[in-house]
Amino acid sequence: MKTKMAKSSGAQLNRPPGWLVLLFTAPAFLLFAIFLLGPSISVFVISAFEWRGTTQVGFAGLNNFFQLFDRVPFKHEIPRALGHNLVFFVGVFLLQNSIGLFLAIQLQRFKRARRVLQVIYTTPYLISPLVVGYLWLLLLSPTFGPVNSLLRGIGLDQFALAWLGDPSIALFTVIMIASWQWMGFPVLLYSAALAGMAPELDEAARVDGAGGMKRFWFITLPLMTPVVGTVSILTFISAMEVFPLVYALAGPTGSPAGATDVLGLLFYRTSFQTGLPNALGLSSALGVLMMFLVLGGAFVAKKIFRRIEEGLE
Amino acid sequence: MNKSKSRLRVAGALALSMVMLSACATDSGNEDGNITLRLWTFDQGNADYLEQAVQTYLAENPHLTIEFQGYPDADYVRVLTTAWASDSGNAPDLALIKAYGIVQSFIDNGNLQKLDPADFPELPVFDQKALDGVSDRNTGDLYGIPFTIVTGEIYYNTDIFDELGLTVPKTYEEFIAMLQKIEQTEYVPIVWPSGETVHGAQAADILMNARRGGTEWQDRFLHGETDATDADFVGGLEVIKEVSQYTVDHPQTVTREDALALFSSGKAVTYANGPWIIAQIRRANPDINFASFSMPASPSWPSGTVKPGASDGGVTLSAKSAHPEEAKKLLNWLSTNEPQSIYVNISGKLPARTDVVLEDKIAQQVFDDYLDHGTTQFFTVYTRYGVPSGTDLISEAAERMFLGATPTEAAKGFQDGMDAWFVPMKRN
Repeated sequence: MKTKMAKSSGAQLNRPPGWLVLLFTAPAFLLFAIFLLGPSISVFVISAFEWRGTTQVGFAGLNNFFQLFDRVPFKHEIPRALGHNLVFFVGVFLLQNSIGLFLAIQLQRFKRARRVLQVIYTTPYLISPLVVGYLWLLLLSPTFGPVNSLLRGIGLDQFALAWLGDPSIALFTVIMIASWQWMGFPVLLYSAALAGMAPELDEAARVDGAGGMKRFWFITLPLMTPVVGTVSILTFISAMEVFPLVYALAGPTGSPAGATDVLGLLFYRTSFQTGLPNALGLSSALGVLMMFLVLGGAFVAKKIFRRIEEGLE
Repeated sequence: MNKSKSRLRVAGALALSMVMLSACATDSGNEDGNITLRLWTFDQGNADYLEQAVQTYLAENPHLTIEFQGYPDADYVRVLTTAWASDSGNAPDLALIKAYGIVQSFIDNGNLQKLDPADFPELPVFDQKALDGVSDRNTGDLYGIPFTIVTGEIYYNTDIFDELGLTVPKTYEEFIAMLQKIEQTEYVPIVWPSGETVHGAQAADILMNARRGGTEWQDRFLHGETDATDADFVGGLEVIKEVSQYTVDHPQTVTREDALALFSSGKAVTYANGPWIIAQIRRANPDINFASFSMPASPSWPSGTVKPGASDGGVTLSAKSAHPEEAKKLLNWLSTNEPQSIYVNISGKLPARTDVVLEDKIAQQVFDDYLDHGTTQFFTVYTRYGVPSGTDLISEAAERMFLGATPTEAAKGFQDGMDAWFVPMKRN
């Protein structure tokens, strides 16, 4: 009984009063409400109305959503763009989780150069995706780009391709560039996770005779699962919302011939380029759909990784 | 108690002064009779040109101040829509707006004030196509005063023409023979921004307008008597496909910057584009010698040689302007020869008034050609009132042909897209 009371009073001592909690969380909540919660709620409201420019002309209910699935070009372009978003996610997910983890493991070995290399890998992540996009557009230009000139210069003419002009490879080119740009982030996360691992586990496995690959598969990778999950969910969210990089590389229509069109570009075109009287209602409905896709996808991914983690425990 | 009362008074005085200050900040007139008008444009360059063009008017009207504000083209419609919707008091009294679908959306939203032609005696001197571009397409009512028009032509490097012994082609057959001759040299025969939507669509109009049948075909299409799958439209696409054999590899990747660099550096001999490119070519290479010609037609085509042109928008009057009479007076003056001449000669664009004389000889030649055999651009003018727009569709059709689709397949794709929203007009 005494012990219980002591524990209880100790807990009360550690727990700050409610007004203090409110005071300290209020600024963050205020910013969250103004910049995230408010706009998110307003987009729901806007999507439920018919608009003429910025003038509300009547309640539309779900009509704006139905139009997205009924009406040309949306009924063709939404599935195409969503497909590209998903391919984009899978491509970036595979590249980031494989190369990112590989680089992070290699960095653990180069203790002297680790900091410098981490900065080098992270630098593209800190540059605006628009700038990265326009730079790569110049680099890959079949007319003036140095990449194809270099390839031709060393006799690899067959690899001097229309990287962003051929529909069969344009999306993969965008995936490569996005992975290159974002790589620094998983490298940092994986490096931090690797640094936090108890070295005894690896050493014990080594003493037991486990080789490098076995130690990776049975020791390192399972312990990294929570970080892999975090990286994957963040990659999914970024992939579903991708816009500036694709806009810079492929223009608002996702050229060539829509081969790189994604939901972000479609949302932009619907909002600002169609000139439709009800552009506000339709684009808000599309925004709501995208929000549900991101939330739903992230929720499912989190559940999957939680199960994997539980299976490993 | 007294302390708290005086604090309340100070707070009250502060609040009152804040309200008065904010009122002063948004009110564009004052007791002295001085008036401030706000004029917004897309692109800061246009704001600078307009500011220079109205100096005489400002000198004659010392009570008037005009605040010019240019916004990036890509953001302009959104910024203007928001300003006119917000009622913040900082919205423009006058705004330069692009023609056709864009100005129509502002007309439909009730943002613009209808102009009575009787108030604007100089209107008969304007090119009718320029006026059509800033009129309500449903009622024909005028909503703006146009300043410039855009056309489409082929620019050529005169030095390389001399070097290769080439002459300006008079027919399509001569044009193709010319491209074939250039192809035998180190030069690129022809370029255009074939990887960009709006510029690609404009080049498509330059190349295919006459083969498709010019104004007569457009009239039949608009009245639902034919569609884009007919032999003439497909024939027009065949022209694009044939000409694209003489441009750089992977034309679907060529940007405005690429095309300009190729032509201004002397690597490409001809360049299909509009008159705005004249100044850009000169800036890129002041030593280049060039001229222009209209895309020549074949004797077998349904139309002779034409130069497609369109309105480039105009200055419109806000329905909520606090000083509508002053704004209308200024608009009336803007329709006269002096500001219109200053504007186009500084900007290097083509005039909406037919009596303006251009200092640039190449621009004057282009304008003379337009007055001689001008027709209306099809994609920009008639196909941007719905989604998907005709400019997006023709650009995609051209891209698909560059990637191997046949003109018939590309034409079907265009028509399928137009079928989503296009409703033919009824003949009177």
